[in-house]
Order: sequence, then C-alpha cells, then structure tokens
Amino acid sequence: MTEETIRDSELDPDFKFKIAKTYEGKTVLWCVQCGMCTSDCPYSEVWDVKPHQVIKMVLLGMRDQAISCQSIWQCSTCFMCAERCPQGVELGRVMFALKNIAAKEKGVPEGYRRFGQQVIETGRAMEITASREKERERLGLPKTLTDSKSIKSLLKKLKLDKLLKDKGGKKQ
Amino acid sequence: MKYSYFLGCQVPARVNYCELAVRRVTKALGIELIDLQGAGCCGCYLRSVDFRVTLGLASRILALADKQGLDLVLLCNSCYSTLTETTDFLKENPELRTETNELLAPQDLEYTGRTKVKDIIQVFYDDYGLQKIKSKVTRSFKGLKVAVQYGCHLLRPSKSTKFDNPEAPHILDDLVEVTEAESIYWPLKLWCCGFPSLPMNREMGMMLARNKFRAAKDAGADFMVTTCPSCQISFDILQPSIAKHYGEKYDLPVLYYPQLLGLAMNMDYKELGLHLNRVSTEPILRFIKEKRIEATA
Ligand code: SF4
Ligand code: SF4
Repeated sequence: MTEETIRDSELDPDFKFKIAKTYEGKTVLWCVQCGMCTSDCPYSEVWDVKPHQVIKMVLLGMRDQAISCQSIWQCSTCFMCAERCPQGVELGRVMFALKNIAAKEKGVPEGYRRFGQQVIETGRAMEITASREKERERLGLPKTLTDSKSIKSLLKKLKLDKLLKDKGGKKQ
Repeated sequence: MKYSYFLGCQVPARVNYCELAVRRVTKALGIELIDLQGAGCCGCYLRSVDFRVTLGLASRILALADKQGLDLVLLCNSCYSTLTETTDFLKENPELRTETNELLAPQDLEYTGRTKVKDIIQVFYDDYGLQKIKSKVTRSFKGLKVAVQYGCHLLRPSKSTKFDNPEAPHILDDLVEVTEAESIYWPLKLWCCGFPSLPMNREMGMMLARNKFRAAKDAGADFMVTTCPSCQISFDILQPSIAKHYGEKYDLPVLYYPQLLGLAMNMDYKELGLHLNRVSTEPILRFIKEKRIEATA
C-alpha cells in the first residue's frame, strides 16, 4: 500500500456494511486481518495492495481506494484465499462485489466490455471463428447452435447493454 | 448412462481437441451425451461486471438442463464453479430464486433445482467408476512422470464445488495412475494457471503459467495432464508465446485428461486430437511406439 495520510473526512464508514449486504460480499466483516490470504495468493509478491489490505480498505471505509485498486481486476479468482481463510471470509467473492461497484461507477474495463458485447451479439463470450467451425466439421463435431436471440432478450432485461455503454461517473 | 452435455464458450473457440477426445472416449465407454440445445455462455466472464448478469445466464443453463431432465455434464472448470455456485446462491436465497424464475418465465424456463451438475471427471471417477475405467486400460505408461493440474474451479470454492479434498485432492491422480504413469508431487499443483487474469493483465496471467512450467519441470515431469480447457489454453496453446516472452524453453506436452485415457484405451492419437495440441505430443507418441517395439521384440 502506498503511504499516504488517511483523513477521517474522506472515509465512508458505512461502506463495509454495504459490501456485507451484497451476495458476494456478505462475509467481509469476519476478517481479523491475520494475513493468511496474502500468504496464499499467487499475486501477493507483485501487487501493491495485497489481498488482506483490500479487505482492510473496505473495513476502514477507504471506498475510493478499494474500488480503484488494480488488485481487484488482476485477481485470478482462484479462491485460494477464501479456501484457507480461518474466518470464512470469501475474499475472492468480495473482489467480485468490489468490481461490480467499480464497473457501475467507473465504467466497465475494455477487456470485459468486449466479452459483454460478444455475449449480447452471439450468446457466447468467445467468438467461434469460421476456421474453428471448419475444424469442427472436419473432426466430425456437431455445429454449435446457440439460441442467441433468447440470450439477448435476457441480457436486455438485465440491462447489460446499458451498463456496457455507461462510462461511469455516477455514484450509486 | 445418459447425460445432458454442455460445451461452454472456451472449447469450440480455442480447443476443439478437448471435445473430440471427450466424444470419442465417452462413446467407447458407452456413455451417452445429449447436447444441450440453445445453451450459450454460462456467465462466468461477466461476473466481474454484474453479479445478476452471471446469475441470469447461469440459471438459464440450469433451467435448460432441468427441462431435459438429465444430469448436466461439463468439460470446463469455469462453467462448473459458476453453475455450482449459482445453485448455492439460488438455494440459499429464496428471493434470488423468485427473481430468477421471473426472468426466465418468458422463455418458458424454470429453475427447479433438480439438475445435478457434474464435471466429466466425476462421470469417469464416480459414475462409471475407477475400477471399471482401469479394466478398460490396455496400454501402459509405466515409466512416465505426470504433473497433474486440477484447475482452481473444480477444487474451489470447495463449499460449492464439492469435488474433492481441496487441500489434498486425489481423483485426477488416481485417474492418471490407472495408466501406470506416475503422478508426481510438484509444489505448485494446486495453484492457478493464470488464465482468468489474461484479459486484464496478460503479463500477470503469463507469470503464473511460467511458474507452473518451471515447477513441473523441476519436479521431473515428462508431461502435464489437465482437466480444464482454460488450463489447457494457458499451458498448451499459449506455451510457445510464454516461452518466447521469458526467453525460456519448456517443451512440456500438455494432455487434456480424456486424451490420456483414450491413449491408454489403445485409441489412435488422431481420434483424440493429439495432432492438434500446440505443444508437440511427439515424446508421448514416441514412448508408445518404443513400448510396442519392446513388446514384440
Ligand atoms: S485470511 Fe481471512 S481473516 Fe485473515 S486477513 Fe485474509 S480475509 Fe482476513
Ligand atoms: S482469488 Fe484473487 S485474491 Fe484470492 S488468492 Fe486468488 S488471486 Fe489472490
């Protein structure tokens, strides 16, 4: 974590309760800052903000720092942290809760925007190129049939298109 | 034995050979797979963006399988954890279930909770049975050392995936050892392949794969065996570019488990797509050939 002074006035003491109210973040309050997650995370050595520090930010109410840090987006979702946490904190899931808020407020990062568009258009996150379809045919594998229309209408109701378009800047 | 069969996004886009091997091997074992019509993305890719989008997409897959009335078999670890976690979210939170069913109703779908989700590995190990698998093996890989990779999302979060002991899994090791190859101890066995980090930070994703190549090689592995198409992409499809990036050489063949099983059942390597693996599987094929010469000599 970079060294900076934390001002009371910039903290959001309710943030931890908001996270605890989400389906993914409901275990966040159980953290005792033992650091087990950080010792088991494959990215601990390279992250500026370590896994237990992400949780600490949430607990302290450092809302902006928590949803702006790169660690939440670089997390591989391997769930090693959650598996080994002695307190039952589902840290990998807390990361998802934080990313959801960041996506809504700051915009969906380009990498994910592309997946989102792809699912809206084709019903699948990854394009099956013509050469892949040909390879399938050659190998005697069946054609991939996706009901992309039904998926599109489901995503419309979930307002994914809108979320992908918004560039952020709105507070929840 | 009959199952609904869901392919996911990853396999047809990047690693058709995984599917080829599954189709050939299940057919040889008499396991019937019925394609889940109309299925699309399980939602795992969008969980970072919006929990409810993932919940909606995943529930749709589960509801489609409910309708077909068979247990649902998957190839992909990401689909497996997404669907097992979604099952838990829907079970633990009745209001989410109501909301989800309202969303699915116009498509004449309903999540009932009937469908059991299974990975293809569980079909081999639990349903078909390890002993019976063993009885089908006619080709020995004795003398070869394998580094097995379970992949994160079969093992974790174990509360939902309930696949094996998450700290000391043995299912894949046992399945590999029916071929008489040795499943070796290697330090990073339980760690991530890096694949999920690639879209946001390629370098970070590659770093994890590189660590794993080095650990597997140091432990003396002749090749790797995975259960997961994402791991397969990281280790096999991307291995040459990772090697180039770090100025290193790994030359570590990576088989998807059904490919190894098929070989052990004396099936032809082309039937199992080994000619489509990016990293040459030649050392394994050479081993088979030399064995054959030894046996006839
Ligand atoms: S392992 Fe659990 S309790 Fe310990 S610091 Fe990490 S999240 Fe908190
Ligand atoms: S889920 Fe994310 S934070 Fe947790 S151990 Fe894996 S990479 Fe680290």
